[in-house]
Amino acid sequence: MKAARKILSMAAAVVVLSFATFMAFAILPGDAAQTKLGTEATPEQVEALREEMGLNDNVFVRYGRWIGGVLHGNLGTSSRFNCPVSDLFRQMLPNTLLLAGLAFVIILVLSFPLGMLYARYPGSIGDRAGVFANQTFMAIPGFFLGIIISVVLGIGLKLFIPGAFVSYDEGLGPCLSYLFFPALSIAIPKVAMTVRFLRSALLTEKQKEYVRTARSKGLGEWEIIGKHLLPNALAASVTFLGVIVSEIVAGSIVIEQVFGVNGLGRLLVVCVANRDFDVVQALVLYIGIIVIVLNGVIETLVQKGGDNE
Amino acid sequence: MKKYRSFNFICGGVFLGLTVLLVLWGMIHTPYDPTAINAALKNHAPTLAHPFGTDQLGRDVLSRVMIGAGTSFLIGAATIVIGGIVGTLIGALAGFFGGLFDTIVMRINDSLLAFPGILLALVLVCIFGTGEKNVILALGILFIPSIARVVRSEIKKQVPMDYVANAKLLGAGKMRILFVHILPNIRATLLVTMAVGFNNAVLAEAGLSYLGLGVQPPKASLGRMLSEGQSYLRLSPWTVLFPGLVLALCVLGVTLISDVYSGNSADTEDPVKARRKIRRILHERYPETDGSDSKGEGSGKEDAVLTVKDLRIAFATDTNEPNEVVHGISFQLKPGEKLGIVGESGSGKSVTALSVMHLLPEKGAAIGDISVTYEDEAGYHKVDMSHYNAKEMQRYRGAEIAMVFQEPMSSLNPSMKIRRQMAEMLTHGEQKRTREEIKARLTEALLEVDLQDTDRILASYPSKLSGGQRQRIMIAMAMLNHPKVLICDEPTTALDAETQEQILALLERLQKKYQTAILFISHDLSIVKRLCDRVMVFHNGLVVEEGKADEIFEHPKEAYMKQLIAASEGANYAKGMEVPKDSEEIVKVSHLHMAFGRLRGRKPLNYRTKVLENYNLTVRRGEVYGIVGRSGSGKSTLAKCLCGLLRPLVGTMEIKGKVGMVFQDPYGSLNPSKSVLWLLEEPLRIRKVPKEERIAKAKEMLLAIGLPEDYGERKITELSGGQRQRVAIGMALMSQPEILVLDEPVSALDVTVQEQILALLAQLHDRYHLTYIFITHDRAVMNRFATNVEIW
Repeated sequence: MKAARKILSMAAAVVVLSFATFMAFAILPGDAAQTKLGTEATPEQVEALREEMGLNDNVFVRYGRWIGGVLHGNLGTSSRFNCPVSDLFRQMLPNTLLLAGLAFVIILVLSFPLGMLYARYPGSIGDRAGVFANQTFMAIPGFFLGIIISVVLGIGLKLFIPGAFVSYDEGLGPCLSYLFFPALSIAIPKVAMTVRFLRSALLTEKQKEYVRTARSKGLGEWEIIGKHLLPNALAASVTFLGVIVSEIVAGSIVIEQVFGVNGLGRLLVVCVANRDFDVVQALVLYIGIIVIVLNGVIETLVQKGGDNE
Repeated sequence: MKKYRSFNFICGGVFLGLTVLLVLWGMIHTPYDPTAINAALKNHAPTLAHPFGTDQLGRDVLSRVMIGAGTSFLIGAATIVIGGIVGTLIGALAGFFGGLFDTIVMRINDSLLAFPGILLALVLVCIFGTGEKNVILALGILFIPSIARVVRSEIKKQVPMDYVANAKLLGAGKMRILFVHILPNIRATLLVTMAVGFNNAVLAEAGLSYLGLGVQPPKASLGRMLSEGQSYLRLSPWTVLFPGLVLALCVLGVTLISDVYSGNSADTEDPVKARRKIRRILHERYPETDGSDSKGEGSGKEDAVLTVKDLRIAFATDTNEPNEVVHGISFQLKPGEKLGIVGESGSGKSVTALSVMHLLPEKGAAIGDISVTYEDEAGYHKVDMSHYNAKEMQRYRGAEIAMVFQEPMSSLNPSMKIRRQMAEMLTHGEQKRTREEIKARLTEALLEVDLQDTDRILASYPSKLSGGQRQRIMIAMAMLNHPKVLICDEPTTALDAETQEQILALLERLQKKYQTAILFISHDLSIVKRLCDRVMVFHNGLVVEEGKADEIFEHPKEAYMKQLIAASEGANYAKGMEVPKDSEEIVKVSHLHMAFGRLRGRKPLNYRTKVLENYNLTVRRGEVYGIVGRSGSGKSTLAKCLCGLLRPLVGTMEIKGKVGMVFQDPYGSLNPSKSVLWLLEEPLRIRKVPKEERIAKAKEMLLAIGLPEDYGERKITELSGGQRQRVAIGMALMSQPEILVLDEPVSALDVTVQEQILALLAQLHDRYHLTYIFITHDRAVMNRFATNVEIW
């Protein structure tokens, strides 16, 4: 029952999203026909093409046609690359997913132990230095960090060759070992964000009276953090994990550009610059669906863990 | 103020100051034309003439950084202005009015927020086109949802507070409540959110420009400089380094400063160090109590199970001098003895108990000797608690000494089942127990505290259980290992009278059965008198009187104890107040029904949570009408109905006269961002009384409620609980009511303060010819204050 309602509300969100996306591009001043033909074209030529592309129809009819196409796997045609949008996606989506997945793993692996460590010794020298470092890493823009990483780890230590990206279909191993560095650049500021959030969530929990009860039972501080504080802090962090997911997606758009990763983010930037609407439209829908579904999954998982208040 | 001297704040100020200086300087004058191309100066390393070097086109990097940073600032500022104004308005209205508008706005908001910001920015830029103005527009729109959400949730937190109800009661309009009363209280949060928004906008602009979709050349922008410089990394790293650094410095500066306000900064003192420091200072002050007679285990038998000697407790303050709250207390607890500690809040009784367990709050520390001695199969033990470190303490906590706390609601972990929480107590000792053994042991313990439905209780979360059940569980848990000493810190204070009685009986029974020594702390003299063999009276961190319970209560020697006993018995105010005979009926309520909850099904009265059913009430002019009821019996609902804050579901209310109200908690019912005089004037300000008259009347009231004249300018947060309640009473009287509804007006106060407020109320009753409807759970107070009592 609960699951059904969740799926239904997610589906509704996707429908709204698709319509909003479509509308946003439908009201554009410069229309697709004009863009396609360039500024040299005569009004008659543009009109003819408009008719041919079906741009003169009612907005709802056009939306219906588009969404029908999307459901059949036809995402439209890229004017920039002159090929079906779905071909572009097939080529680039796995790279982006690998990158985002890798970044997520790095974030989880690094931030939980760090957050717990800070919360164990609040106010200590280590905690202060850690928090300061945290704030610094949050302030550094991802692409600047990416550039620093490619200079220091790539050019300096020669751990990888910046720009020499290996796509997933040319070998998964080399692809992952290259992607580790952009994933690191995405992850570091997010690790800082997560650690900061976890630290303050844990410290808030630590002030509560049940902690005193736990101490009066003779439990150790680490036991209290692991068994009592962490589950409660996690329940409070549902929305935050959602933010992290969308932050990873956002980060990958820019970082792909920095490291020359052939992924959806880079595609998006190229197509926005060239006003390739079919691709942008499809990409927004795609990323939106990923974000909605991931958020739904995280929410359900965490609620299962802490659904008892 | 301490926070302005913190390391993080200073760092932030310096960083932000540097970038602001750079921007301002660039606005007045740049060393070179930032767009002038000079082929002769390509990729020059930093020199005196070009401190940041030159780029691939020979342009001066410093000049370009100045202009670029200026663009960043402009875009950041414009964004928070656009997003801030629109977002605050939307959030405030949604949060304050709620309903459909709120639902729709927040739905849209949440879906926008779940979306990656830069992606939306890209889409908007794709729609609007690139360039500075469009970027500002896009980022401003992007900022609206996040600020709207923060403002809404903050306002939602404020709306149910009593001070809002109070303002409503005094006749303030909706807009006045929202903008004058509520918004000032969320200022700090709003500022912090703005700072975050500024940073996000600066970073997003840099990102967009880096991607070539933001500010367009030839205009300089930090993001653009990074992308242009990236191709020349090996040749001229400074073209990337300096713009990046300035960007990071600016964002870091804003974060560091705003963190000081949001309380997210780590600039707290290290509790371990703070404790050590307090202990050192205490030892310096009292060199003789240096733990000189601490003996090792096994030496010299003593008949006391717990011995406390020269215990001093102090808390860290903002100054260097810790605040000493307990000044050298010594006592002994004999096996099987029930020792009571009485005293008002702040007398040091609770912290004394906590220090025995090494459970003082973070900023507190204790010196002195605490030892526990006992005999078991393994022989005689003497454990010197004061010299144990945290790790060693764990062995004794829960095993030899256990504790029951005041609030059974918050003392259990809300997200852990009772079974696990209780089982944690059984990890002491070497013995490994199987699941079945643990369960059998827990079931037995629960049965012992009269809880029957053991399987269900063990599998429940605390929220599914009542306060009385939880306190029984706490006691069962504390007794699991049959400790030698059980410390009870106000274990019955949060419970209603009936449950209180049962818990006390239970404690007595368990104590007899296991011969546990009990240290019982309470502010309630009658409970201590009933339960304890021996009593210590605490006052300002000292034991002022000690002795057998009967003796102390029958023949108190010290003045303070006499005062306490007098306060607990109390003067009879009811006799002193003038009540006209056979006066008119001023309040007549008939057939009142109140219910909450969602309307379900067709029979509304059957399907809701009923609070009041067919309630009738008649009050005559000049009476002090007392209503005594348990918590949750609907008393407060009735109070809110009477003064018009809630509309009754069914029934009629005839009220002849203006109604004022005094709320229970003076910390919640007075707006924390205002001064005393402002609050007293507010009822008149709403009624548009001229300023001079307003101030004169407020000052008069200040005297009438017994506060010194110079208190008018004080912030309400600087006042004590009793003083605040005086202000609350004064504020209610300023609107010249004839009827005053008093909803537990003294329950949140200490006994001696309670007496003062009751005396004030009695005096005001005659002075202003008021009619009181006095609602409380405390029958003793009612019996001596009300002229007419109704018991629910």
